[in-house]
Amino acid sequence: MLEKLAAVRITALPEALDVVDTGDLIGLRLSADELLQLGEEPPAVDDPHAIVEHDVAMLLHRMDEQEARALMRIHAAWPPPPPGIVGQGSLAGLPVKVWLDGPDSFILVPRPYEADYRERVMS
Amino acid sequence: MATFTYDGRAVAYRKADTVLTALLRAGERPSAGGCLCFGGDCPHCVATVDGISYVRTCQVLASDTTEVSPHPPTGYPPLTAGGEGSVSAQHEFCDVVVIGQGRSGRAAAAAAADDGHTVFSVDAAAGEEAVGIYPGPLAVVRTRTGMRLIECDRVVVATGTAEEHPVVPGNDLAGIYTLRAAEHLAGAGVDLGTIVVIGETDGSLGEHVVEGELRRINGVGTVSSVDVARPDGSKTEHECTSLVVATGRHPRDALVRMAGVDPVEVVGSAAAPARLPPAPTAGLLCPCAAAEVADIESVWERGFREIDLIKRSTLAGTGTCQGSVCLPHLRSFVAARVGPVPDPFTARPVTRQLTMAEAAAGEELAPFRRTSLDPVHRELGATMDRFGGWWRPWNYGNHLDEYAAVRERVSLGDVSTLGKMVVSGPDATAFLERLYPCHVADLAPGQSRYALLLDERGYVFDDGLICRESEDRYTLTFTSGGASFAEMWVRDWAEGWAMDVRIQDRTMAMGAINVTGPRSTELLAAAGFREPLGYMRHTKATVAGVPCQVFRLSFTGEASYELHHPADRSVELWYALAERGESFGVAPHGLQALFGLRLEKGHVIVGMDTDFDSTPRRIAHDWAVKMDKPEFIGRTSLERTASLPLDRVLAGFTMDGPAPMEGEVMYLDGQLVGYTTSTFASPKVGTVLLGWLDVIDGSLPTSVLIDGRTATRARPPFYDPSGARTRA
Repeated sequence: MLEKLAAVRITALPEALDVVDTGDLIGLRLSADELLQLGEEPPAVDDPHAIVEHDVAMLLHRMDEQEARALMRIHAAWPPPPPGIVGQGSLAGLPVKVWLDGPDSFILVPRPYEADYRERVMS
Repeated sequence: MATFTYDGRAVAYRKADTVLTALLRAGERPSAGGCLCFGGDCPHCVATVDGISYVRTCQVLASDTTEVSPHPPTGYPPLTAGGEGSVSAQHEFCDVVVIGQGRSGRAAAAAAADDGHTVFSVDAAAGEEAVGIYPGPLAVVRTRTGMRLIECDRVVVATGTAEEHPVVPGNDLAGIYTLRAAEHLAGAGVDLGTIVVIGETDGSLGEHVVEGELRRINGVGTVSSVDVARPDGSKTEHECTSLVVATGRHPRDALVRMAGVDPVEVVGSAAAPARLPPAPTAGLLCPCAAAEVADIESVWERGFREIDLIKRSTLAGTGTCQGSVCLPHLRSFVAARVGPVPDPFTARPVTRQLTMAEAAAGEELAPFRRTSLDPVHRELGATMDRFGGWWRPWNYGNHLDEYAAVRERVSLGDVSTLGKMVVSGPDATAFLERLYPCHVADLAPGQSRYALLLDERGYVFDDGLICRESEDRYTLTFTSGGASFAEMWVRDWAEGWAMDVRIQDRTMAMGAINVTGPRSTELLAAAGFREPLGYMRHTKATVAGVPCQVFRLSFTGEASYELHHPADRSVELWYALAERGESFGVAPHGLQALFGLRLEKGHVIVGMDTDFDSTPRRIAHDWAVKMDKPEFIGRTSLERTASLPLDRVLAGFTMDGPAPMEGEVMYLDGQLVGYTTSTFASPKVGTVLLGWLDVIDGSLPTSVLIDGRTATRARPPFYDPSGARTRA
């Protein structure tokens, strides 16, 4: 099932993001200047101009790694990302983020594509 | 006895029979004639199998459920999508793909694996057909369970050889086989009758071997004899019911020829040099394109003397076998006339006829996004349509009722689709000053300003709001359809100018509801927002328990508030506003009503009313451009074109009667002088419209004919020209 995801999106200087400590929470480095931390408590960021916003743009599809790899095999024309690196690309024609970590793997789905994801991937 | 259906009749088959084997054993044949190869290399055995046309019956195993029908004798068979539902696709990633699992293919796969490479082997015996190699390289394989799309670093082609087909008069008769085909059929118990073999053979067919060069195949419908030129120059005729051609083999190289610059290695007999047959003088050369040798000679005489030109002018080699049958003969034809043997022409994917479903395997339609309120709109009975990359409510049953709600009471509109972006940083103000043609630095925190986005030529490509939150932080909004491009635009310029700014797109994270109408302020007060908020001001507040950024603005011409909020609380906020608004007569409005409302105010929709070369001056938006600024994107172009006379403008019109179509042309004295872009039959101000109007002899026409009726030019806004209602 797709779950609501409480996250914090941080846009800041790359060097500030490089040293952000998300503790036990997963931090997905989406780009040099953007980090999506899973969890509601914002981390400290050493950039006074950082944009730190609660973000509900993504929905969470939990699964184990084998299931994620099987979905990618059918729906993604790009290789699964290595553990600890967020993969970003098209899955069944929808923009997603993939995190592989054994039984704690997941796919993040942008909220506006929820219905299409359910139809194309989960049905 | 197991049977399958052929042309409505039951045909017996044995275990491991292909459809073609069983048909020939039964004395049937799916096509009129031509040499059969049983290698999948030629088109002579194609038929419609299980509803799919152009299937090579030599490659399909017969089963009880198989239904086969011949293609029509003239014309083309019907093409179908390829069965019900979609064909699945699986993506594979490996170091090496080995196509072909003969001896050399197996050896290549083993060697690659020994070197530590991941290997994917394609085995035709397992029903896997490599149908194309695309840049990447990407090998596309059809299997019995779907398509495989295999990305790799290197492709090894070990596809062996294809047998030479004869090109002589009569080669389109039935009863002609390659040696492998004849051996296969003999092994399967198919009676080939009296056999004549041209070429080398081991005699296992019990045949009559004829030494010499095949010159003609005689018969009516099927082979009855062959004419052979003996080495001593004499000619002989040999009666037979089957002709077996064993004159040579050629690399099965179509996949190699389509690989281009991709790393492809050819091994085994597929890598052997080709020995060309004698130059053909008559007969069918390319069975796929039905090109005769005479056709080749004809284009040759007209000057098409390169092999690629011959291919293009006769279509020889353009079928799904991509020259497997005709290419050796074609090269020989050219070599006989010019000397050097020409290189083979490029092959194009695919080497097998694919169904639409197979070709589309793994492909998905570009999705249209849905706001968090999408289920609410559908529950309210909205007619949904696609605009700007989103599903949006067009109306909820009657757009004029929705119009009335906005003009007379209060209404809710879903504007979550608007682009939303936060820009922060020490250079934020300087950056936006260079980006936008309006002033930015004079905005106080809490103030908003309408702004155009111009490209370097001064053309309008988007618009929205600049909302200052603090000294160095802004929220920007963009049109729904233009938001993605605008985001790229903003990021590109920030990077190009090396501005010290942070940019975060908030479009998908934030929903937005427009509360509009003369009672909108009352509704917000009922929802807990009682702070006086001036026109084009914004603030953060809690509305009905939901944290919002509240923007006071107006697109409808009535007092309006946009409530930007976390997208996961859109439904909660919508229903709370609907509930609190009941006593005010609140109702939702869709795009159809909104388009009319904003047209009454003369508000332009970028992309709908504008064209690719719309300058601010052409759309009467000079007021949004401050040429006293030293620098902004498009300024140089606007400065240079400012002194040029206007050739056309976006003008407003009023007229009687129903609204004309959008895109309807305008005439003046019989000449086309413009076209409409937006039209609306307004209950309050009559029919109004915007449209592009040519300047005629230095002035704008005061009236034109649209749809046979007079339309009079009028300056927008058509409704509440003082703006009193907007600012109420």
